[in-house]
Amino acid sequence: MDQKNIRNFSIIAHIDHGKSTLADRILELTDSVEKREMKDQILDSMDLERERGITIKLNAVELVYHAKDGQDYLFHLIDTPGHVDFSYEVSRSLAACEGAILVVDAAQGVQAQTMANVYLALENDLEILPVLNKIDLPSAQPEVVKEEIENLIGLDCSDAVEISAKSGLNVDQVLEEIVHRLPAPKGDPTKPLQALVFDSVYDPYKGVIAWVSVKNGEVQVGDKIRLMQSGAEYEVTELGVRTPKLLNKKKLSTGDVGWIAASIKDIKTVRVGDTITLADNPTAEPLAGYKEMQPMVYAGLYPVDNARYDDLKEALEKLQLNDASLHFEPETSQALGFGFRCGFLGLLHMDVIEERLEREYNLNLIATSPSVIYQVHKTDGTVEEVDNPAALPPAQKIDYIEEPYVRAEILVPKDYVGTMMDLCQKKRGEYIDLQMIDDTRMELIYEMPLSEVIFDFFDRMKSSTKGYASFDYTFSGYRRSDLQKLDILLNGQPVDALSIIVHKDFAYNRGNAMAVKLKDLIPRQQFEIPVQAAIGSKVIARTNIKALRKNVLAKCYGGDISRKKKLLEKQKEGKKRMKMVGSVEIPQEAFMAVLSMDDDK
Amino acid sequence: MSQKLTSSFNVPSLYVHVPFCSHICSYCAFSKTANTGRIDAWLNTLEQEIRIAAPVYETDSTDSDKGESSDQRQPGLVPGRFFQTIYIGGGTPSALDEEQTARLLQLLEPFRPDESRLAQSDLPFEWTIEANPESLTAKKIRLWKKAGINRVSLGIQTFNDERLAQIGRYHTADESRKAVELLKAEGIENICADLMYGFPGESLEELDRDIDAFLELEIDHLSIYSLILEDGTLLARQISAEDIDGDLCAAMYERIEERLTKAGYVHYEVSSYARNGRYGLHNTLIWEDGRYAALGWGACGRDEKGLYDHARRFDDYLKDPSARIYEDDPNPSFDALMTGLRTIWGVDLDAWQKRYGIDFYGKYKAVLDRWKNDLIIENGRLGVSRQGMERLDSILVDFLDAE
Repeated sequence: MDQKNIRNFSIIAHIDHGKSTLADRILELTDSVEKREMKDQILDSMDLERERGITIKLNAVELVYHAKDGQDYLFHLIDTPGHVDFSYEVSRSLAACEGAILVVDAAQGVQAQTMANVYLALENDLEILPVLNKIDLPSAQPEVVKEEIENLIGLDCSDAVEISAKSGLNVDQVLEEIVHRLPAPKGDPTKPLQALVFDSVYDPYKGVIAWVSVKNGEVQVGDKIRLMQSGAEYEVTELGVRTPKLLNKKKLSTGDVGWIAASIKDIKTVRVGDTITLADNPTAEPLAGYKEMQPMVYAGLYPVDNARYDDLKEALEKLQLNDASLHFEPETSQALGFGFRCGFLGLLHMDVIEERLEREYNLNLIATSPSVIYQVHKTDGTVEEVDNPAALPPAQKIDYIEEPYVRAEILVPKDYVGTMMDLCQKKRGEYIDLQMIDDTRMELIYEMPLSEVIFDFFDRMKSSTKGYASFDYTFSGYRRSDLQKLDILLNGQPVDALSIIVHKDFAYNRGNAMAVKLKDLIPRQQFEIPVQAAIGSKVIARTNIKALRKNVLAKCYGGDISRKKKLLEKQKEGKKRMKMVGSVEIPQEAFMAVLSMDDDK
Repeated sequence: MSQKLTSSFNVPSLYVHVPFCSHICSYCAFSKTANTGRIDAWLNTLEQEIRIAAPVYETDSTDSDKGESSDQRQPGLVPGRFFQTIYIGGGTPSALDEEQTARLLQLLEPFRPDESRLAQSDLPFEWTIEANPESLTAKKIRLWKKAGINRVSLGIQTFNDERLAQIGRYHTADESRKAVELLKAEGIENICADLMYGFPGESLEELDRDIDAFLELEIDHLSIYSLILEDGTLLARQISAEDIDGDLCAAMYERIEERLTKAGYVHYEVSSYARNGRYGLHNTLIWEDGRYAALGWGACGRDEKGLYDHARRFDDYLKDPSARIYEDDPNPSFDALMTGLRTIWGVDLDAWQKRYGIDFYGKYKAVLDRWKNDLIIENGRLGVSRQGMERLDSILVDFLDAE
């Protein structure tokens, strides 16, 4: 296909604005899958992918669109992973494109993630095509929302297509707009190869599969390629595109988006953001790649079964392949044994990684409560970075501690501004600005400690604004804070994995809330277990988990035996998710107790 | 540890399930149907099942040689051969009318052991039937007695009429008392009362009134269960598990034990109390890892191959009543611990090790250590302490975990 007939684009949107539904419709309209078979077919191919160890997400699909001008166009729809609603993954996808379809819910209007994604698209010099979705909803206000997009983002919406991705209304117009308004890839096929790696996955048979966007030159099966960051060289064994089934091809040329396999067994040699070139005819310059994302949140991940430490390590390495933002290094906990301190971009990222480890690698994990990185200025004049509360130096060696702050931008309906400000205040937020967006909504800006943002801020924002507020945050710098380490003692023994760092003013409340929460989460055991929260050697809160009194099923006659056994099996499964610390069995959730406790209690 | 009740594992029992109720109680998860119009079809099928499952039915009762060899095959259904106990449960066996009752008893008649066989056993013959107070009549009791039934288990549940209505029972406390009087008047001495406790909102005082009322009946056996919210029951949809206070339930369990023990009853199983030696023999045999044959839709049995059930759907049962569906039961040795530890007689470890070929002490060392205060080994028998029995499931989970 002629390069000028290629269009590479992503769909970007705030969560639930209809990105996936639109992608489905586009697949149907380009006859990539039969409408009737749509679901089955995609699921089938996903099963196949799973069997082959390829990632389950649809990350880049090649489609052929027969446009109204009579010509065929080759579309590469690059999926922005739906499950991670932070910017890093999106920016990776965007760097492989020339254009983006911005989907905005015509009833809900612009949301925080809409704006964040638009800024990312602009950073990548993408042409943005605004589309108003859910136009068939009674509450849809396309004109108002168009104005909002123009005012807030500065995008011309006079040609914005109004669609219903659900019913398929006007989706054909979106396809025409893609042809006419998004640019073709600019590269030069005669130049040396420059292919951007925007994702990679591990396949047990093919080795590492790199997903690439070819910016210049071309690559063929049998070519010797070089990964510019690591310098590693491999011979291409297979390459191709996805339609959405994996399809082998002989070569990928400028403007193509596809995959390359080269029997790469050493997964560390392939980094997302790297440039692939040809060993015999290398390009002088690598592509810009991505700026390395620094993790914001750290937590310990431990296998419940200590014997599975190596499995966890291998799983983390494989996940890191297509998630360069995941950092990890070994650590040891007195309570939990050997595990890893992992760095994540945020709590959602942490959740996703944890779930993938459990689901895809069949690991049973304990995650400790997340922590940010503290800059600890010690009395000897040195500065230590601490990402694990248990590792905080003793109080007498600390001069002062600094913690990371973020700038939080919150879009909130007018009626909830007061509630939202209360919440920010409670989270030690510092008010910066409040601006009208339109007649009904305002933008609220606060500087807040990141540790407070990761500590149930999102859930409380959603619940106190009935789900109407949305927010985005960016790191803004370190600030000095009056912080202390709060230790938890179970049965008189400190459990290092339960320690947290808290602001002095909150220490008492959090200690109390933590003790109460743990009392709820830790099941009763043979003996009474005192739960204490302490700052240094001073106990600030105490409660008891009473000894288990009664746990016996009343009936067990002949006909009850198998049912009764099933109930015991269930209890046994529950126990498997617990960690024996000293003589106390602690369930997984207890280590995350800090995230779910209610401060106000 | 008390001496064990029975002399051997292999005393076979027979369980007969009557899957009919005049109505469905809101807490019940047993197999049952309120469609009493199908009782006659069921009786026909039961007869068929007996014929298929017991091929020696017609000819065997006089042929002693053949009988002997059949006995070796126990606990197959061998009429005229030896069942130490028969238990007719439900459902509501008393929901059958007199004619239907007579027919059922006639079908079971051949399973009643003969006198000479009984004389060889160190245990009494026990034939129990479950009944509800409202469907009990003198005429039915006479039929039962004549057939050889010598024990009646009465579903009283509580003496609080409001509670009875709440859990969907159709009788009153008064009817329960009258039922006991009637049984005694008809010469049934061995009576068991079924009671429940731990109703949502029930207080210790309310429980005390139930215990008072029970003691006034002057009967020898009590089965008393904490209310369990079983999935799939009406009650489980009406209230949630959180409405039931675990600590209060424990206090009730302890109160029952204290008061019944004081009144001369032996707390011989988690939920069972008996005086005058009138232990529920049928269930005790099952708890002691006995083998039991099962008749009727919804009846579960255990033979050497394991636990089995009949066809799940009533209509399938009618089509093929003899189909035995074996449960996936990978560790029957655990079942023996699970049921054995429920009684004060515990588990005979030598017999257990022999039967299952497992080194008990090696396999469960960690569990024995962990629960050293609750598990007792005495005279080669493993049992639980009073406290251990109250939290037996926690101990059992550890046994299961060691599988």
